[in-house]
Amino acid sequence: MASDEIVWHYINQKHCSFKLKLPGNSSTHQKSTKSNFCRNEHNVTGLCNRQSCPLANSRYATIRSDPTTGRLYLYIKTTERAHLPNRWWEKIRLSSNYTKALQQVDERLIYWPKFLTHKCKQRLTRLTQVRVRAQRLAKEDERLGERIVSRMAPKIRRREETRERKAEAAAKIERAIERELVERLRSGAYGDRPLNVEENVWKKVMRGLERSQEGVRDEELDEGVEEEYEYEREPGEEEAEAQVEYVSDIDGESDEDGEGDMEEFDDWLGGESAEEADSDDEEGASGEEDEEGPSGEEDDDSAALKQKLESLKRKRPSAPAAPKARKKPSKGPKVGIEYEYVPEPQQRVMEVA
Amino acid sequence: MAGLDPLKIGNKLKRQQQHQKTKKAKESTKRDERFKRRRHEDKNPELREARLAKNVPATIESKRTWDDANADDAAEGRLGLSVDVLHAKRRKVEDEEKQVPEEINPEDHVGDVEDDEEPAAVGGLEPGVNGDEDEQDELDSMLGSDDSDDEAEANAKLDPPDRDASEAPSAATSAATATTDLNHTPDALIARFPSLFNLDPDISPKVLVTTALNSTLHWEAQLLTSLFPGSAYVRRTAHFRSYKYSVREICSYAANQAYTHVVILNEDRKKPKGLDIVHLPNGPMFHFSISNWVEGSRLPGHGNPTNHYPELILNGFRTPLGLLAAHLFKSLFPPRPEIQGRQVVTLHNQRDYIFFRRHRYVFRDKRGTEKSIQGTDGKLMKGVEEIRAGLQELGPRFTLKLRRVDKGIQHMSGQEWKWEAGAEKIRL
Repeated sequence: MASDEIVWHYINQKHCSFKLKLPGNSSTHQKSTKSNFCRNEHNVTGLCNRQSCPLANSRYATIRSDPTTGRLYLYIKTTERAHLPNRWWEKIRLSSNYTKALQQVDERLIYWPKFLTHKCKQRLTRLTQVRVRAQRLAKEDERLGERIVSRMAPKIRRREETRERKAEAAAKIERAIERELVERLRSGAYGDRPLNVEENVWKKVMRGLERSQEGVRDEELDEGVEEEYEYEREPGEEEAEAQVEYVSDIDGESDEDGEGDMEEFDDWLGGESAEEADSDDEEGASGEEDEEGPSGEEDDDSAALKQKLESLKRKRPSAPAAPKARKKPSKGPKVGIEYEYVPEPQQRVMEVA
Repeated sequence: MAGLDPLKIGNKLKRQQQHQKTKKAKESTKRDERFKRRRHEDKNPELREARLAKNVPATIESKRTWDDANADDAAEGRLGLSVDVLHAKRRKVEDEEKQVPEEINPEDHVGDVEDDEEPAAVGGLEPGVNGDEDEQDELDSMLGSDDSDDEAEANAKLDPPDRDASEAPSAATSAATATTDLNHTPDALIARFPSLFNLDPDISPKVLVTTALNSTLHWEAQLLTSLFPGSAYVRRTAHFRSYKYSVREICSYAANQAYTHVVILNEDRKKPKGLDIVHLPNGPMFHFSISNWVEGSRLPGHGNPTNHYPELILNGFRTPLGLLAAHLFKSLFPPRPEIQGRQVVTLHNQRDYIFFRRHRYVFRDKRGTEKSIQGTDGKLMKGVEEIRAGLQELGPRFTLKLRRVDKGIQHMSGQEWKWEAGAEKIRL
């Protein structure tokens, strides 16, 4: 007890590690003009006072909360243990019910100076309010479901920027768009008389298509020849699409592959080559297109796709019928017109407005 | 004797002069060779073809290694695997040639994705039949590109034996940017996300656009409404003390109002940072990050969009995850485009970056100075040699990168797939 005075004298006059002096507020506008604070975690008021200092009082009490569980504890320091510093603080868990906790504090600190009990109860009140507010915020966060997304590490961010730049350069987006649009136009996804093309442009496209179709139709007579021709050309030729399996099949590479390919081909056509018995056009056309000119395996795709479109969307009896009527019995493969064309590997089912 | 060892000339000036001389000489010999070659090949085009066929430059796309495609994995419709769904056959052919186990199976990704029990007897990789083929009368312009992470990009455990151009087409480069055929989705995947894949072609999408809380991107969100036909922008609660509606609540309200999607625009310091797309009613939620958002007015030669329904081009979505994202984008737009509007929205996936563009196109005659359009493998497109398509860019352009797919709405519902920075490389 006597040492309290000595301790306080030293702490106040000379030096205290926990003391924090801040410029106080002016009393005219602010409620609190305090400037001396105590950073000791056991201080019940937070101010640096003779009565509040936990070091200079051998009998002391505080309320503190457990950060993980949020429970409130009453810490009591008595003179009897003043010589055992590691056992100074007696930790008593308080009920989570506020009124019960108040009663507990009362009964524990009975006969203690009013100052300490009063301040303890004030602190208890404040800490409960804090806990309630924290719970409310946590619940709100959980309801909103928003989490803080940590910033991307600068190395990774930079790496991604570079990669994006390179990817954009490699993508050649506008070329791809143009190619795709023209492919759709050519394959007839826009219908018979498309609304997004001018007359003369569409006529050009139609002429180009008819030219290729004509070429196909003429080869009908030369089926056998065509196949052999294709066969010869194959090993050297480089394909760029999935229908190579079809080619391999003709090569006789492996039966299973061939089988699978044919299945695939059929499936891809939606089994239409088998189903659509009504239109001779398609069967005939697909037969024709199977044996096309030297460069022509790929034309299968576009032609077959056209077949599919026709069957799905509108019957275009005029188109296949007319060229058929115009079929000229020309002999031999049309070597002169060599369209080195390889269509897209995969087929699309186009949506027509 | 300055030519003795040009690098060892002590005099800096002389050394520089000598270097310039040798450089000039070297370059001129190269040039002469090139022109000679060109003259030769002009006379004899087959030489050129042979040379080009032999000297195919290696690209990142061509070096991509794929995961082992187990039938059961594919049948489950897992998202994490880097499996080329659409070109499985081709790879089989390549395998036969190579006789080398081609793919690497990165352990981390196998463990990542939860297994759904799919009683799948379907060889999910078969690019064969899909029942949806007939249902989807829509513009399928998606060719295989990989949307999932480029795992084993740089690493191949075994060096592939040197070989000539394989019979399997040099699909690597062409397939990487080829238009995806949406029909070739594995059935297992469709079974897992039925609402996404089995789109009714008569239902027009109804999109609810909103932002994150406390966001200031109202103008950008309005732009998004012009982007998605049938969309509306609703602001988030502004007042400090008012009730803030959570994303889950918004989604439930939207689902009640017959919306099909909720699009949430995230912000970072006044710029769009991310896009979260929820597929209603309780469908998967896709988180994208946005980079390089450029508004239409800042594009040189831009046009103004009309409200015609645009066509859709989806390039380069190859893996199951890619197909999932592609179907999501497809579902965001009305199924039947108005082609008289001549507008096209392109989502081009290249190396996991999805480039979003909006154009107005016109088919016109080729000018004399222009080249003809080439197909994906460099050969001219038949029948349309005299046609070019002019493009005018409209509206915003940005780059998306898929970061996370949640099973339900928001993170708590579990992740289908998550992007991890460390997974981009395989460290042995």
